[in-house]
Amino acid sequence: MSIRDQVVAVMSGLGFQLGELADGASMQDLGIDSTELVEIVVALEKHFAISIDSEVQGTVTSVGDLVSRVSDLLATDVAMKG
Amino acid sequence: MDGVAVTGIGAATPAGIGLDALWTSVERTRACITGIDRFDASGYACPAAGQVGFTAAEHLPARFIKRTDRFTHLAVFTARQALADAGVRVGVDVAPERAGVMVGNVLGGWEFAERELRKLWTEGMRAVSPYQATAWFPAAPQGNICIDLGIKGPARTFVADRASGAYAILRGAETLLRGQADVVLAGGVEAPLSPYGWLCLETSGLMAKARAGQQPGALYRPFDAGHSGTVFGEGGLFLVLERRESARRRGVEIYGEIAGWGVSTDGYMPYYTVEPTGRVLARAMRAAVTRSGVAPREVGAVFAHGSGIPVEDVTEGYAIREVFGDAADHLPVTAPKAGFGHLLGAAAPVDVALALWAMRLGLVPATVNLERSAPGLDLDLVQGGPRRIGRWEHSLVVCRGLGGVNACLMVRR
Repeated sequence: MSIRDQVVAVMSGLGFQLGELADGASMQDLGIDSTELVEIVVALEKHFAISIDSEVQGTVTSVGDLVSRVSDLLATDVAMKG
Repeated sequence: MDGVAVTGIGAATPAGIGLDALWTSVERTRACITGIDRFDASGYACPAAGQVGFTAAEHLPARFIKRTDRFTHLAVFTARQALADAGVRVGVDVAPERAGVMVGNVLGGWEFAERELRKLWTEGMRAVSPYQATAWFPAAPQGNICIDLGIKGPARTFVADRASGAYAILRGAETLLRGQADVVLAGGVEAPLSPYGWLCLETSGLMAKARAGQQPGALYRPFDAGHSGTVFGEGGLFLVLERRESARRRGVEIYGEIAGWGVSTDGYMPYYTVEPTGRVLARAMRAAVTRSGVAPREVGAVFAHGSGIPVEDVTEGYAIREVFGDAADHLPVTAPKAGFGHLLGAAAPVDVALALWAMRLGLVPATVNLERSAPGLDLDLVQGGPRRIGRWEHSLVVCRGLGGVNACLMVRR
């Protein structure tokens, strides 16, 4: 399963509809407030065993951003574990 | 002086969804208290409750359900029902800042909270839901109703034990009469069916004790010689209140009015008991009668607090006698909550709705399980089946709470 598919799966477990999670869907469009963003981040951290920057608030503004952030962290992880 | 009209009712009770289901159950003197199946209640002194057949997922979105407790689900659902019943759309029929919400609640959202507390102690802080703070606190229904319906006027939550809902209604009425709002949703909600929530009620000393061989439906026995306490339940009921004149202008059907109210506080020691002569409760009753501009003999029925706690039952009887004197010989007293449970924050709103409907039909419902009047009681109790008494205009609703809270409402046809 691609990283994107896994992010979508985690989010649909939190009540989101598959159809609304396009890359371009913004946090604002989806009505995701700061508390729900925390919930999503914690769920993604748990699923991928990574630690996402706590200042994700302003920098992640779309589903695509979330996927990129997770991908970057996983790539860094792999690189560090060598 | 203008009056306060009830123009909409939304309900979810152990008798079913809606006022019709509630009235039908009450008219048939049905017991719909059952053994608790929401969690393992076998270790509790009272393993019976009034349970609501309400599945949040059938009415509310998943992303709302996950961040809120059941008591908020019930509140938002019944608030919507009430407004729809009154034909009021916030932002269309009433300006958002002229609409208000008054909620009675006792325990908050323990089903959600205790699940998160368990995670705190077994998995650590990070495992606790970020929604915990806003899901548990007793004002969650108020806030979520406002968000859901776009209400921006006066909003408040009242926590006064079993009199919470009465306070919400009287404050709703006051808000309208002071011109602070034009439409107020006033009511209450409770969802105590979780291991810890139920434990809070068990340790309160208020609950009926199950006796071997006794069916769940037979445990709650207000005013009966076998009374031993209260059986609680979950539920929500909201009234739409608006000034009588504006209701008439809208041409909407009026269920009746909130004609008056009275409050007092026993302030008696120990904390968990009541003033033994009932005279302080009588003061609240008399204030409600006086404020509604009628004489005691014009009150046609009493929808009693009816907790089934022996000392509360008897002192409620003393208070009724003190206020109504000889007229109490022919003043029907009933506690329909014996059939579906005491709904805590929702109890008073449910009694008001039942009183309104009873007056419309000319029928005083009976108290379930009332076979033999308890010693010390000298009241005209309605038992067996509903009593047809022809048309009457005023019903007194009585509510009491721990700490000696007394809150009475006068409901007018």
